Amino acid sequence: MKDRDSFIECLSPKQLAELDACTQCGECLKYCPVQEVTGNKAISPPEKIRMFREFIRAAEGLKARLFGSRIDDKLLQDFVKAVYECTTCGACGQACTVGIFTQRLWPFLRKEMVRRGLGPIGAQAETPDAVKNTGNPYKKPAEERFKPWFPENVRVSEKSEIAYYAGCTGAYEAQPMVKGDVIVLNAIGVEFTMLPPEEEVCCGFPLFITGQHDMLEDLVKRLVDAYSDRGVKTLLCSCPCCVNMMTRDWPVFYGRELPFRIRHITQFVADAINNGRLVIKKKLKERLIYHDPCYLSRGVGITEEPRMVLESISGVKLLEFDRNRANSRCCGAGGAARKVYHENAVAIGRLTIDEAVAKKADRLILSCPACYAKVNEAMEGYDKKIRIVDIMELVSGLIEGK
Amino acid sequence: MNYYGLILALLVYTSYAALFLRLLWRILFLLKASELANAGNKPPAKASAKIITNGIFDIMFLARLFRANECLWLGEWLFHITFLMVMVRHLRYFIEPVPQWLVDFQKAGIGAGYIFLLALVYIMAFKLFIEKKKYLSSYNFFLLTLLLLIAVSGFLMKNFIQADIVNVKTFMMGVFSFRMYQAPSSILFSFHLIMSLIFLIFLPTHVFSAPYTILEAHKHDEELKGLMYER
Repeated sequence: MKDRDSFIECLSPKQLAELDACTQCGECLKYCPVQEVTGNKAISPPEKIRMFREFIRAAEGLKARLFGSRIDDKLLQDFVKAVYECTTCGACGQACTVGIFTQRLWPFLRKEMVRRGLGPIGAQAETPDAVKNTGNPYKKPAEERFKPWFPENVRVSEKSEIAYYAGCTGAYEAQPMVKGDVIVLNAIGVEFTMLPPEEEVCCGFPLFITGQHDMLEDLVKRLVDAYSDRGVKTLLCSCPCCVNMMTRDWPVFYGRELPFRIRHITQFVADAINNGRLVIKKKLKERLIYHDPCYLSRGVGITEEPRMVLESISGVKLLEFDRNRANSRCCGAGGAARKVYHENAVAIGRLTIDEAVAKKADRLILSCPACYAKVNEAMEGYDKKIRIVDIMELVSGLIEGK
Repeated sequence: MNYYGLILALLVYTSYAALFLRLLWRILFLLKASELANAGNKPPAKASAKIITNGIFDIMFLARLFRANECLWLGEWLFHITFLMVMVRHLRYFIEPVPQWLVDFQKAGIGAGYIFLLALVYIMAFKLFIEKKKYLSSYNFFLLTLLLLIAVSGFLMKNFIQADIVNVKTFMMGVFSFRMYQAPSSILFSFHLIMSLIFLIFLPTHVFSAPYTILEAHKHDEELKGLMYER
């Protein structure tokens, strides 16, 4: 029986302890990308926690139990705005002085808002129907998922121990990236399988991150069973959000350990380079700067493999952002906030462009389709310019000899 | 026993009862939360000896705060450690006979009291003047102000307007053994005690939950190293 008044039904005891543990020191504000571009403390991490504590107190406190709960509607509205304007990048948690895992906390606070009928907001609310009807959050037809970008010379097996999941954002919004992935896999000479376009549905991340969990169990079971039927032992993917969802949440929604392991494409390619199965012969005399995607670095701990791949290219000088690896700055695309708070997302994306240009990089290397789409968008109409390339797009260009 | 002493004693009992109720309520609340099956949340991971050791180090030295802000860390760490020392020093007002180690500790405890006051002033000034653009919590300022008042009144009592120590100890031991004695006539003592009781009522519960979340963060960091590399 769900208690409408309660604010704790979507949270684990650990997350409740995290809400209590926040000392309101405000150190996290220095790293919050939304703070960087808005300066609005009302939507800052400690303020979100303070507001949520108020709700818990108002609903669960002794006074509420004795005299009934009374929730401040205005405060609820403010909280909804704050929690959905967040990019869920988790930089606040990385800097947190008491170690709160905020990249995980915010989505569950959003889930509570969805349960109360207050979230999601704007276009995010269309995601469940879009996924239900088309299999992806972009409402694009399944037949266009692979067709526009999939290279004719790359062969996909019916069954294989290795599978590749392109992901919706890559397939529809960052096609050079997923094209690069399959070209590189083909060059390695590995036999891999893929689900047909109508079966390769959304991994569930956009639903998870906006707090809309109802369809997740069904989606995850469909995908896991489909890969399992193909004899898959390793599932490769280049999208950090998908990888994060697969690694952290698929086992939870599947109800048990997955019958295959998840690997990010850069892990697989770095291994192939190390054991000589992939040789990048062409030189590239350029200064490259690599941006760590939040859900790849802070999310699943992949920071070195992309650098290993880039450093294996002869002639490359690899530069670093001031904030790199687990401390990286969000590109602005995270948390589905870009669908609603477009201006914030563009302004945050431009911070990454500014630093890459200031460091005199020839190219900005990304490894996330959401970053790819958003940073490219941020550069439209902007006076500072830099070439934006996905890591596998770059590698595929060098091994194809273009 | 005068009415004044009775009022002070009642204030002590009320504030302790309030703190006890608050903590009990919080424990019951967490027990209720742990009974809920929250879909989408994994059960917590186990902690190895290495994680526990690193976690304890982190908690004792506020290592995460050090990494985030060295200047603030200096004030906060000194504040926390000297606060603990001052509390230990004050045990002599509640124990009879006073054990030798506590007698020996008095000098260090008095020294800690001065550093405690300086650390509070430093933190307050740092937040108000140096990092004023950052998020400021009114609750934190309320607690800081309370602690400053407690520290200043303690400082004044120690150095300028002494209270009758024997009277203070007799009264406090009486309160805690439910035997009422004459309250000290020192207004400064009453102020010091009342501010301390208010602080007790508003004691931030992060003193209990933050060590837990810091330990969990160490588990998370360890998990992250192997998350994509297992099997």
